[in-house]
Amino acid sequence: MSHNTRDNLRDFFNRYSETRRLSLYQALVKELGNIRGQTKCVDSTDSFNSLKHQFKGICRYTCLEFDAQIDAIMTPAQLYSAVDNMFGHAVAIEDEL
Amino acid sequence: MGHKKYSYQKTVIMRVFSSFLRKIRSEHQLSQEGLRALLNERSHSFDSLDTISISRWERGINTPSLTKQSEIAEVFGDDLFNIYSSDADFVEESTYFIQFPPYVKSDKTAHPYYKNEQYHTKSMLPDHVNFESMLKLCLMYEGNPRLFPTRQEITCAALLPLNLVSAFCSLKQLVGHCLFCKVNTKALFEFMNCSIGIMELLNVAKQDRANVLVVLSSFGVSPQIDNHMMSVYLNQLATDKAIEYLSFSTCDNKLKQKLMQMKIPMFKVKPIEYQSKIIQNYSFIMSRSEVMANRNMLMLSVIPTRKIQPTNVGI
Amino acid sequence: MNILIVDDQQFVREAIKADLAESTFKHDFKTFEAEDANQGIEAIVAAEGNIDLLILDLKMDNSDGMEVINFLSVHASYTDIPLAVISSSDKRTLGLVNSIASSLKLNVVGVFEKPINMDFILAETVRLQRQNDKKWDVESPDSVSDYDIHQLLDDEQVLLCFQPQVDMKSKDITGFEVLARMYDENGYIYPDTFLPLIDKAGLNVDFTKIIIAKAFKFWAHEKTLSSYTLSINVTAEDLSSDNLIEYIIRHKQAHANIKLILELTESQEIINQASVLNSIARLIINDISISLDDFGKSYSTYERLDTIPFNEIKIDRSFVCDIDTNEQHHLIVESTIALAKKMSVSVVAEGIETESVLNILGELGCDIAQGYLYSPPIEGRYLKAWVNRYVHKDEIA
Repeated sequence: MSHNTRDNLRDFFNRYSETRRLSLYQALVKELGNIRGQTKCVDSTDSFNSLKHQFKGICRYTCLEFDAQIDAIMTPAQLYSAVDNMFGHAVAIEDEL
Repeated sequence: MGHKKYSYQKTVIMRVFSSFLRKIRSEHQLSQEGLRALLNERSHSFDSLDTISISRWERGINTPSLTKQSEIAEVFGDDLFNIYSSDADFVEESTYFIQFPPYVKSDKTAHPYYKNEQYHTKSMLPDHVNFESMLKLCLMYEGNPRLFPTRQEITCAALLPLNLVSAFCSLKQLVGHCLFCKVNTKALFEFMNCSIGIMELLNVAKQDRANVLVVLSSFGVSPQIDNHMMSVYLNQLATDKAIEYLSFSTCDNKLKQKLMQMKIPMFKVKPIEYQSKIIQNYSFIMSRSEVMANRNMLMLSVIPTRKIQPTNVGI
Repeated sequence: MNILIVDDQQFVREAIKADLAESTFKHDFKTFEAEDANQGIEAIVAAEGNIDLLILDLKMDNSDGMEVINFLSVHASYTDIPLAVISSSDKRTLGLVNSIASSLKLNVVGVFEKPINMDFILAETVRLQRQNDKKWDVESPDSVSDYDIHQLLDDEQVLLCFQPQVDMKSKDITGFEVLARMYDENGYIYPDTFLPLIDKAGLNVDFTKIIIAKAFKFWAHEKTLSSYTLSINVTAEDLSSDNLIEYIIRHKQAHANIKLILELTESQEIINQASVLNSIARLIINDISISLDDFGKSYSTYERLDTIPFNEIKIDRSFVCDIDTNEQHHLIVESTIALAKKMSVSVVAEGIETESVLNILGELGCDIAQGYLYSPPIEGRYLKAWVNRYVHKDEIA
């Protein structure tokens, strides 16, 4: 499963030219970091749903929705774990871009 | 293909057609005027044709479009594929579509494991031991939920009408594939309109007379391999004279982009639901004569007829 | 081309910009970004409404897309901005937003689920603006500069294809619709590509004349075909050319036995002009029938019904092809057939691809069927053979 995530991320970035890739990557990492940070101190169902929606948007774009199993995420802890996981993969492929 | 390349292709086309004309006239003992009169009589596309044009065509000064060439060939019971695949130069020219450029750009989007090297293709029948796993990989790439959505065991007899060709590089990694089958148009439209599923389509394919070749997936990691995959089914279309139409039904954006750049008209865009999101399914359909009149497609279709052993091409 | 992207996620905005850069549309895209509804509204005002495409995210962090939609609807100078709403929301919400935006009379390109396909959205925007008659300087993939339309017409690189029309009850062929193709040394060129070029070159009437001449010549030559009706597409603009009307009538008079139907496409304002009605009257007097094409696709459908003496209605393929699954389309087609019956005109349904659609049309009382179920458009040189096979199909079986 995790191997797929990394491959899928690579595929996503490979679609774009080198210059674009960099700005896209930086935006992705920044967003994931933000969501991760905010998930840690989420205090209401509304904000939880909002963060989950943002994460869903990112997964949709990178075609990782299936891998991340968004629909199974019910608690902030699960969301944190999923975002952190993806963040980790993104960081891991930084050198390749 | 650069401008220079195309000019040479045109020269080859002119030469092939001019020798065809001379051969035809000699076989049927027709003067240039006689040919003109015959074409005028048998077809509606040559009303303003004059003998001088025929003379120019034969001398290689200019040449009519492939569409007109095809009509002329048909009047004499021949077709463009036969004419062009018999010409070694034309076939050689066509192979440039699948050959590597003399230099390798290092800053191009590098593929994780394929570096413009030799590759080989393998055509697999459903009873081949690797068929199922290769098919799975192909389907994973294509991402079309209408192709084999259920995980149940499917007999290889049921998959019989499918043609799968895979391309591998030296690391035994998959670098390209094409998946297609011959069905009849009625069943194909039912499939495109989601009235029947893929299993039913294949089932019908076994029973009824097939008149359309539908491509369900076509991909190559490099443009050369991509073209090579395309040449496989185009050649099938060209050689199987019972096939009247070429069709594509795909969710692959890259393929759709390629087809549109080749000026293939899109037939339908149908949104399909897949894991709670919507993806677009693109369909294309062309008649045989549309395919053969398309210079790029004609060239791709003759590549598999090449008999010489390739040196710098990956087969 | 100015594109405004309103989305609260920077990643999404970057991805959209990247897709635009990779797009097959050759054009200079100038993108503007906004993080929320207020910024979006400010950007629209700052650009003075000079925006060629507004990509709007529905659900944003501290605002939502509806605010922008409402803003557009209350300012007349902004209602024309082509609007593409994007979202990760479910389909029903998207459907609802589409209805709301349309009912507010906004220029909606569509409502799209993320991840969005920029090429698709751009193509839809071009189509929408063409339909709205907006002059749009976007070079779509089939670039205008690729073809020398004058040369192609001079070299007679026009090819006629024919799509059969079949009587629903008897299953006999009643006639054929003429569909033009062009070609050059690289292959076929399709109407989507060449019609705008012909229009731009002001060669509409010349082109229609070529079609008329070729079709008549073909029909007169093939005795087996001349008993079938010949349907040729003309635009309302064509009909305001006296020259063309004369040309058509002359051909008809020279071939009295050929049954000609002119399919009137489009529905622009000029339909009502006296000159057009005059032309139609002359055609009818000369035994040429009029068919109203693409019925239901535009607002002036009923206006046309009122003013033009027509013999036939053609229901557009977009309504027909999915009447077996789309309830709304089923209703629309059903009422159109009922209306036609009341007015005693015949109904042709085009775009029939499957048996189930055909069966429903039969139940609804449709008169004539046209579509890929019977055949895609057939090139002239293969037509006789096709007719032969069709007429004798039961004998072979």
